[in-house]
Amino acid sequence: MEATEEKKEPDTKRVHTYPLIRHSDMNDEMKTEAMELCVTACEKFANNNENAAKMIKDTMDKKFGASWHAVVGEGYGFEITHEVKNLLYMFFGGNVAICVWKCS
Amino acid sequence: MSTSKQKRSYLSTNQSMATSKRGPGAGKGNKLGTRGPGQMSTRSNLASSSSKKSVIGGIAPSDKSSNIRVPVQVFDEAGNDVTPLPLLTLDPNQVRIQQSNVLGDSTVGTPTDLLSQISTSFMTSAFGGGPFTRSVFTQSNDTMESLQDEDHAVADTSTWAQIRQKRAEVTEIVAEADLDKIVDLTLVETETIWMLDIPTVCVAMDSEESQSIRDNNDKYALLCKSRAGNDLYAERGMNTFNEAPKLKAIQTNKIGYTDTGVTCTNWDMYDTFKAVEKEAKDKEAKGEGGTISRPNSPNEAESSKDADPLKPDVPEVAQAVSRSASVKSGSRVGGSRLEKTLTESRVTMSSSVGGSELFASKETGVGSFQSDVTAVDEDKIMKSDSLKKDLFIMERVINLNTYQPKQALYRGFDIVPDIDHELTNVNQIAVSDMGPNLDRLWSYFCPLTKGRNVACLAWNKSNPDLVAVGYGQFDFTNQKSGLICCWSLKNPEYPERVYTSKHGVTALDFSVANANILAAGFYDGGVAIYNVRKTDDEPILDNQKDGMGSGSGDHESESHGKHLGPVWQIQWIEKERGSGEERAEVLISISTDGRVTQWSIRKGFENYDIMRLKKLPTRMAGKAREKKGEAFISRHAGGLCFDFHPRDLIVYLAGTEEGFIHKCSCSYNEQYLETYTGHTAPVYRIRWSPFMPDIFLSCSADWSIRLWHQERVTPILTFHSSTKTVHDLCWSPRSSTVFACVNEGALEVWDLAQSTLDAVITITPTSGAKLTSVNFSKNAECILVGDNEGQVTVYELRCMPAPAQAEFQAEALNSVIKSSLASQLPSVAGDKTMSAPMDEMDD
Repeated sequence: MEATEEKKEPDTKRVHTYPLIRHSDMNDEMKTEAMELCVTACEKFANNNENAAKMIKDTMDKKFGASWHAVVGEGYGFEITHEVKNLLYMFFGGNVAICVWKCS
Repeated sequence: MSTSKQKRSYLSTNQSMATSKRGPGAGKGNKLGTRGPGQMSTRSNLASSSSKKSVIGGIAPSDKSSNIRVPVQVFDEAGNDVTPLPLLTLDPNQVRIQQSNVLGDSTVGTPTDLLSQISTSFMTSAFGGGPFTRSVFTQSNDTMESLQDEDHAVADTSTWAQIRQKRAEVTEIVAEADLDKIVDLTLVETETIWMLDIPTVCVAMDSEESQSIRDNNDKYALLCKSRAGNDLYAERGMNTFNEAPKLKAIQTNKIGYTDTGVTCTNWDMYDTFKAVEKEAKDKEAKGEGGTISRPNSPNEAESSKDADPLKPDVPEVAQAVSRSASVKSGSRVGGSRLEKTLTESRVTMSSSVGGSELFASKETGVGSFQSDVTAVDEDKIMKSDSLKKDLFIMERVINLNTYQPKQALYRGFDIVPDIDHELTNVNQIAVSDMGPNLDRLWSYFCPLTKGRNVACLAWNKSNPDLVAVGYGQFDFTNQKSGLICCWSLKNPEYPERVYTSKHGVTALDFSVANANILAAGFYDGGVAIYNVRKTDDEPILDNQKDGMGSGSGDHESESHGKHLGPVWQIQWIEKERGSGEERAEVLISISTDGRVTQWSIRKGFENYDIMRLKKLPTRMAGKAREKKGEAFISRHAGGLCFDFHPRDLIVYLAGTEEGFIHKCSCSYNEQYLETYTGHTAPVYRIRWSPFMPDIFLSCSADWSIRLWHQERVTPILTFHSSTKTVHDLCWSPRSSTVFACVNEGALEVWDLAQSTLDAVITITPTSGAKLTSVNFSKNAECILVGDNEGQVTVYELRCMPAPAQAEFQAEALNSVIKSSLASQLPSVAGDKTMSAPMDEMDD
């Protein structure tokens, strides 16, 4: 559970806009890459979670192969089976949570 | 055909070039773009007026023999040389040679030659020639084979040079000239621009060339046929190597799968972010070089203060989530850090320990979504004050939701209809048609009070939504422990305060001066004072034991002045002490031992009897009955109730077990001012009318309620409505002619203006409980009724006739009394004449 960037915008409406990894068991470089990708996707598709998830999933498939799954949302619960060392669960933008895992 | 055409076009191009040369001021930007196969077209390129690029040089006068080749130079406004550099620099020697041949060849050489010349030269020197645009064209270069490159280049370059020379001439004229002159531009239609030209590969049978082409085709076919066995052609084959295949199998590492799950919510995100911030701050604080034992760490204190007061559970939860094994004491103190902003060194140490725990656990990266909340933390969370506060708020909210319509009725607001609630289509009579009635709103009841008899009700003087209810049995045989509950309007489910006591509670009153002081009288004669701000169960003063600084050291005996029988009524009275002293409040109590006692709490719990109720010999009309052989238990009559005059606080009425009502004064403690006879059984309640100063009501065990005037010894009106003991009585604070009473079986509301014979409303509780106490609510049209099962029910009074104006209240009651008196026959003994009271009332 690390906080990577400490960028906090002074905008009072959106606090905690920096991405924060809540849980992850990936390698460090995979984790960083995945996190960057998620941030990019969410910023690009700020109001369309489906497209953001689609972008994340496709890119992860290309980069790390086989079958990735991505969930982007604000309120959900999940119970998943994932390959070991291939799960990332992070928060971004104050109220968006992204869960990415690999499982074929 | 094409040949001639092209030739023509070439010539025409030359002509157009000439015209352009002559055009005055055409040098502004007349750029000639050559394009197309073999066709040179002029194209007026109108440069923008703002560009003052001058193109110098380039085209010399059409002296084709000259070797001058002035390079094109482009200058911008400032005179800088912005000539684009050529991509390929031609060898000037070669250029000269080529140049000399130009015109000679131009008429001889086929147009196709020219075409290819141009094309190649353009390809090579094109882009260095200045800002010309030309289309890139491709063409089949089959015909180029026979020609030599030099010729192409020569012809082309010369024409190129020609063009450039021509242009230079034009521009030179204008370069120094007045640029503001009006320029006439001649627009000429350019020649057709050929973009693509694919020569046909088919020829008509009857064309001129058909024969030659046929011959060619035959020759080629023959060639193909003869290829097979010809010496000129040899076959040759090749084959790639076929490597030997090799099988290789591999198996990846087993891909392990695990299951994880979590609930993602906004508050989880917020908490996590907050935790991270806090860690960051802790990190900074720690990293400032301070040792752990630093006494004052303002950063720590600040960070603890910064934690959102509404979410103090965050670090506890964060700690719980992040590690599975932690120092108990560390975490405990760390949690309490939030609740108190301490700056002690110990706290600093523990907080940094807590912080480092968090760091340590982060490093391990052991992900566990489910919060491993150990028992320690749960306990801590449960006991935290913030949780209590949050629960309290939640409880209020839920109650508000449940009881909103009822509470709105209580206050007199209109009910907001529940949108979701489906309306039951019951044929209801309109409420207004039903006449005065009571609507049951809710009842204060909880398992704690179940089965207890409600003995007394008291409203808080400053907050009319708070009511204190005392629970105690009336019978001697059935005594339980007593209970005092303070209920709030906002929460009918559970009392706000609960005080238990050993004996049944029989009387309660809130103080006027200090609204948080509650006095209670008990069945054993004890009197206690509670502070309702505190939640602990002990009264702040009581007279169970003599421990309040009294001189005698006999602690086991009861204190002096404690009542020997149940205290039936207790009331705070503001007394004017003497001149110069402020009004002080004293407590008055009355009990079965016949004493009316005044208690003061200035020093300890002192008391002072203001009256002893003596028994009066019973006076039956006409007969004096002697009590022979009947021994008195005591010379005092048991007192059951009293009420101080609302205006004149010296005078009060006391009701006794004998049925007499005595008017007493605080100045005399032996004599009565007046005695009122009428009741034949113990008088349970006396109440002065809040509107008329001389009228009071009393109720008693003889099933009746009587209305008295203080000047008349006999009652003015008597109300019989049932054959049950009337336990309690209360005037309505709003209407002078309305009062409520409870007898054992029913609640009755009387309106004297409507009827003096019957109650206007009678309600019998369906639960079969006996009703024991009643009280009107001060700020609402509601009545509270207590019964012997522990319920205090709130009824709303509906459709009562509107109370008269304040000044007319007295009038209303007056008129009732007058009319009733008028209907009475004058009685003989002991009464003043009828006229006298009427005169008094006429004031």
